[in-house]
Amino acid sequence: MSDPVRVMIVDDHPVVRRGLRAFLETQPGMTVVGEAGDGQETLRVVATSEPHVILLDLHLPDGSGSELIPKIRQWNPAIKVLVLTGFAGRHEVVPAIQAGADGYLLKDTDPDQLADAIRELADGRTVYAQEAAAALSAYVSGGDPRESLASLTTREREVLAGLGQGWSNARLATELFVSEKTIKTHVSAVLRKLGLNDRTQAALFAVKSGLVES
Amino acid sequence: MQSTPSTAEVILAAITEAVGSGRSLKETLSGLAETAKQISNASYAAIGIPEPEGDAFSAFIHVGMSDELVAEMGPLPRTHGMLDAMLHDPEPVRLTDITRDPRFRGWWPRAHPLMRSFLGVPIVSQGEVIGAFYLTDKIGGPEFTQEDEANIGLLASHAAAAIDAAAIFEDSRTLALAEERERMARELHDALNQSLFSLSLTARAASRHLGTDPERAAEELNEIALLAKEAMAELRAVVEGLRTPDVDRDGLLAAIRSQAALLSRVHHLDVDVEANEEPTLDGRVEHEVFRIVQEALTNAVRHAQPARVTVSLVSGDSLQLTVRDDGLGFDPDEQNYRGRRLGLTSMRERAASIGGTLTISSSPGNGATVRLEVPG
Repeated sequence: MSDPVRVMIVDDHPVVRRGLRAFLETQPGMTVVGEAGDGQETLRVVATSEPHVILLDLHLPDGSGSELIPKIRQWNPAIKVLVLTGFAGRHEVVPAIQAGADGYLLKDTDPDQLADAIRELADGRTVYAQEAAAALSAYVSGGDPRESLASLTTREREVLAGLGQGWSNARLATELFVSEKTIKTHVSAVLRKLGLNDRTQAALFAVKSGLVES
Repeated sequence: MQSTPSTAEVILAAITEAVGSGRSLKETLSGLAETAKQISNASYAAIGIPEPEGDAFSAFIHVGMSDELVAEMGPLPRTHGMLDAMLHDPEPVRLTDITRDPRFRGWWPRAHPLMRSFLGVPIVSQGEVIGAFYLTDKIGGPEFTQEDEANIGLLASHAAAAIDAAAIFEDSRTLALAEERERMARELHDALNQSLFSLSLTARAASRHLGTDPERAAEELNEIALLAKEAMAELRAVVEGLRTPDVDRDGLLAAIRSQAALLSRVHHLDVDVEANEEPTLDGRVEHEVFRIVQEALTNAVRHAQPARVTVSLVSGDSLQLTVRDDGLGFDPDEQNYRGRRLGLTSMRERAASIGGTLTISSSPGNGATVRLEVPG
């Protein structure tokens, strides 16, 4: 039989660490070799506990989990990182994958599937929750705000920025020195290109994509 | 000698009230329709704002009809016939008998009052018709006069600005609400996710231990009970924190504290509340003061990116309220802060309505302070 998979848990919630440890210790061929509650501690524990797989929460008190991934790899490029976190929006998923995460699961995963995923990673495969895969494919196919913005003309981007500030068509027309009819055409084009339903969605999109400060 | 206000004065008052008072679009339109009816002696008055496309009105506000009659008539009209004609031509239309005009489509909807004399005046904003005034059945005369037409024309020329202002205010409100809702949902999910995930893991661990290590299984079952209790406490705390503050139920100070706690939670910043004692004010005054605090906090959170906001309430002979943020600040004289200006105007109006005075001091880079003083 092969050596047990050495697992390390990184999460700032003690209840989550305790639950993970209690469950993983019931798994044959798996051992929990370390725990950490923040980024600093993670780098210290990684150096001494020699994990094969790290379960990594993205929301840590001293920064984002994604930023830790390259630092972990620097220590030992063979360590597999399984992100285990609460959300799978593109702002979480994309940076994590870009930083080199080998897996991405949500904190509502069935425990047995989590155990299977850890084994998959230890064997060199990747595992992504459906939600994470969806966010990633939306990003790759141009669904990311910054990517979609590229499909807009300069004028349409100005209109979107105005919508983000809650401007009416009349206000937009004044600010951009065109008629309201022209603005309406631009607004329709923006909604169509971004696949949005209404002005409120457009405004939220503008804020989220960093076009305007929230 | 007491004289009745002239038509010009009525128009001026209506416009002053309608522009920049932080009212909703509906309130603004209904104020304008009421004024139009009054100055032209019409039996019925309406303002219609069409949707950008299609044949529906996004708003059709009318005055002069009883609620029963409105209910009997059914759905709001669409942009057909004479209603539609007014939306294409910036010229007013004045008729003795609307039913004889070729643009009349020949019949009234069920229960609709029969109307004869008609005055329609388009509302034009930057060369485009954005809506129209519809006035019918002149009281005390067979038709609307040249003077009526001129007066409504004057009202319409100012109405465009009032409608724009109200629409901007409403847009920014909707956006703020949508953002707030999203933050709350995330907050609630995050708070419960931790203990429920742990609970699910621990339950699986307990069932694994049952056959081989009953003692360990019992230990995990105890942990499950604890986790469930914790999750309930968290749920209660979050729901309590997200509950809309209520001045009548909780008192002014508690309502302010609860609003502050809500904002700190969803926006991740410090909102401190300092007070020397529970203020004793008239209920209506407390409501207005609370609204001012809400508005001031919302402005700070939305526009200033502060790290800390402090609300201070000093009660004594008078009530002194201060809302201070350490955010970006702004130049209060600058015209570019229209969305925020509407908020400021509405705070000033609320202050004035309870005999208080409100001052705002700020400069770029130095945060902002809103001060309210209400005599006791």
